[in-house]
Amino acid sequence: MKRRHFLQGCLSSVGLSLAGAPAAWAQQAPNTRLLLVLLRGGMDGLCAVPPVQDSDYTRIRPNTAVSNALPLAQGFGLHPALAGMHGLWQARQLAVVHNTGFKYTGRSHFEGQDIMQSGVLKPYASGTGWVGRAMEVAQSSAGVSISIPMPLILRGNPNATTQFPNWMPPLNASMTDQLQQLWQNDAMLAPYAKPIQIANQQQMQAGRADFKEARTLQALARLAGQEMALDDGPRVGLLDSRHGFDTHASQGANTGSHAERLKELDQAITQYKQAMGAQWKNTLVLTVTEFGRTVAENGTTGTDHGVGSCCFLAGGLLTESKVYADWRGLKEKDLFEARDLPITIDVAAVYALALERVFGLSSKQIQSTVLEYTPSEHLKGLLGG
Amino acid sequence: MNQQQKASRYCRRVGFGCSPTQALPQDPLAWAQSQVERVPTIDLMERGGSRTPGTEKLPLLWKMDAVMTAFHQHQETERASFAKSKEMGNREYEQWRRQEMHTYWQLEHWKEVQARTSTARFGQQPVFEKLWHFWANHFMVAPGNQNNDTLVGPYQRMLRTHMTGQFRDLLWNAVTHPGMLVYLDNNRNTGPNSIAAKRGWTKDSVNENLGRELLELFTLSPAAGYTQKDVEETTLILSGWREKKPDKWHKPGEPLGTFFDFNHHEAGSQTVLGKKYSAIFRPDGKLQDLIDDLAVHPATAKHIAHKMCVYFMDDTPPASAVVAVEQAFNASKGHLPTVHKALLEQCWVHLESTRKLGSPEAWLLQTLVYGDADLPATIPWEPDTRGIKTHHLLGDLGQELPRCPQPNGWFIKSSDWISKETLDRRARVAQHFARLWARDTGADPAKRQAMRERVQATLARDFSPNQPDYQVVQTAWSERDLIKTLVLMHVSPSLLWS
Repeated sequence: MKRRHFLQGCLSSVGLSLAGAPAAWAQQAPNTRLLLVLLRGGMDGLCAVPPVQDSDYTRIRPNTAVSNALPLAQGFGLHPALAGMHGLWQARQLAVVHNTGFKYTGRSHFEGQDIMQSGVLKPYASGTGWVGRAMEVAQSSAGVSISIPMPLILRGNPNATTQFPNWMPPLNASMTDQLQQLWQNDAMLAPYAKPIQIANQQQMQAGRADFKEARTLQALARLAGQEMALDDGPRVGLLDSRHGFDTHASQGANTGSHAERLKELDQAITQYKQAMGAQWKNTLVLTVTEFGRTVAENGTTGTDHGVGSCCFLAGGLLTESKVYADWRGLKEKDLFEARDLPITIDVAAVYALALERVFGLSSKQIQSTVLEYTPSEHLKGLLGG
Repeated sequence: MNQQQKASRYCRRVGFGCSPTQALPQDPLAWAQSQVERVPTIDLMERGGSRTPGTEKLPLLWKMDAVMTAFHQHQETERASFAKSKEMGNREYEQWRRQEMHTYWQLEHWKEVQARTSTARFGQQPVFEKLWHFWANHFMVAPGNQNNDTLVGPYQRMLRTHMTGQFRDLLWNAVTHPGMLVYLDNNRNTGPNSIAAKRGWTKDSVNENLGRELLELFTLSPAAGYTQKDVEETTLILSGWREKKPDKWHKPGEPLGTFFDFNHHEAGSQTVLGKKYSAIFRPDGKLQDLIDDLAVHPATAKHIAHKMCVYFMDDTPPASAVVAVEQAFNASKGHLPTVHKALLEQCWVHLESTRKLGSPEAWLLQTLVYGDADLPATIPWEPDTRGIKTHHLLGDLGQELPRCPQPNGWFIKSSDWISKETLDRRARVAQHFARLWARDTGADPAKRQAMRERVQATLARDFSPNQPDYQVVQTAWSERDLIKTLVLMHVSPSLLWS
């Protein structure tokens, strides 16, 4: 009943503009920023944050176990490609939640990527995303996705927009001035008239040299940081990595294809932090992936679609570095359907804590209007929760 | 909506629009339905249908021998590249590689995308082309791992040749084509009890990539309620299906292309959706039998009917339309021309109560059709060839053919293609063409007259005078601002939606 209620409410809000009084958070946490990093393809939690002290790890991963992990705590290590993030760990600005994920066990990329963005466990049931809904409830100002299409996760907030490096010459004002009138009877197009007008004006003033930016994840992360560091910049940013984490074959271990993806993530976060400058202290970075990968290697020294993975939180909003986990081990009897890491912490609970911290929403507000979740005692202390 | 407006909207809905200087079809539904019975030629095409001059050295490969040879050469070049990287200095190597790989990447993709878009633009059966775009999207194969670039175009064009038969044959040919077997890693999917595994010839074992997508994307969809076990059993049935290329293991006389390698196959029987697929005397027949069943499964009909209606009609298509297409599928056991005709009929019946904002590719083609214009003509012979290319424009619009990021294809819903960036970019691409056409028109009175007629005919035919977009475009036109008129026209709701 409850879920249906918020689905209806949010679907109807698509395309409406923001209205109403500023919410309570405006006094509490006006400068906080949230960067989401979508890691599509299914990040391997056992590669990113290996359980280095679990004696079953190297047995079950003869070719793909990481052997030179950087030390974390509680028996976990960090993949050596994540050296920048290890620096954050040492600066008390990195948290890991392990054996986590949305409570979805279908192992489909496309359902999984829908659910991780909608926050609704029934695939394709929602036209809005959990971050978009949270921003709407919090009456938050704009968010920006560094992409061309708008990802589902930010939909539901009419002030979210998209941005991507564009070489094409801007439109002059005599055209963009007309867009509002051109689209005024079309509720799906109308919200974008104003943002397009502003973006083209800005680019007219900036000149073309600024748009030779490469399209690598780290360059896009820098762009996100430059936007979000501004005092009146977007509160929420989103980086969308490609499908690369789907390493069915030859995934590698200390190096290799999964390691390369992690390195991209690491460089992106490093670049973002640098671009955020002083704003970094008000920032939280959050990773989102659709599922983890099989605990055992498959027959092509890769891993197939699994269930539980891990989630990274980084940034100045954290006060301590810690691994949050309800670890059950890697023996067959401890695994979900004898093959995957079980979800022992609902990742929606992690995201709820992030929304509480960044937007000042209450857990009750989140549960009823944004994201249903199962709270976990194992998250005690995370983000002050 | 008057008859003219309706016919024009339908041409945009099921094709790429009708030029404002040409007569609309008298009977739009019959016009569309007549295009699905015959497979038209695809080529690098010019206005009038002739082959693009200067592209003699860029044949579209059709014969499997040629396709597999190109694939093998590409892989060998990649391998040589690895060795070269050790011999050469960094800069020297980068230069060598850019030059050497260019043929297999940029030029190959340019050729195939140009063939696809120019055939849609200038061919005689745009409705067939749009249906092909649907199927190439449904059975997605994109550049990915294993240097599969040269397989992508031939695979996608192969799909066309099966669009006038049964869905079963389309499905079979999609799943067993080397393009698919390589893209979804099935060429490494090896039965754990296969001869090759037991004798230690390979370290490969099962790989679920294709098995899962066969059930999820191509046929049943998860709504059908199959289990992980069904995926695993399907994967075993698929084990050993791989590609044969002219490498050192190729024996003289062996046909290139699809290859069932019994040594890598999991023998015995497997059970999918409660039915046992047995291997007595015909191990490769298990896949035939499974495809036979999946192709006519009611869940497949439902899945495909719904997907087609979303693709062609509306994000939430009318239930009756989905049912009609589904029934046509079930009644004809997936006879594709019958299914396509049912879909086209539903598009016509529900034209005014549904609306569709097309993909960047569909919009770009429509824009060219409305401008009676050509595609960008630059042929990127060299890595640094300057000039606008079609696949780069598509990339700017958010659909960088053929580089689809995921196996579930490009977005099919209108709402997925609406964002600040996507709309801004459509306007800027429109501006690019508007400037180009304005320059081309220049002071030539005949061309100027033709341009005037096009704009006026479009306004009269595709817009409603009581709508604000008509007013806005008409005002720009009366200000004699041609570029502004064209830009606003092509991003107006009247032309963005069909």
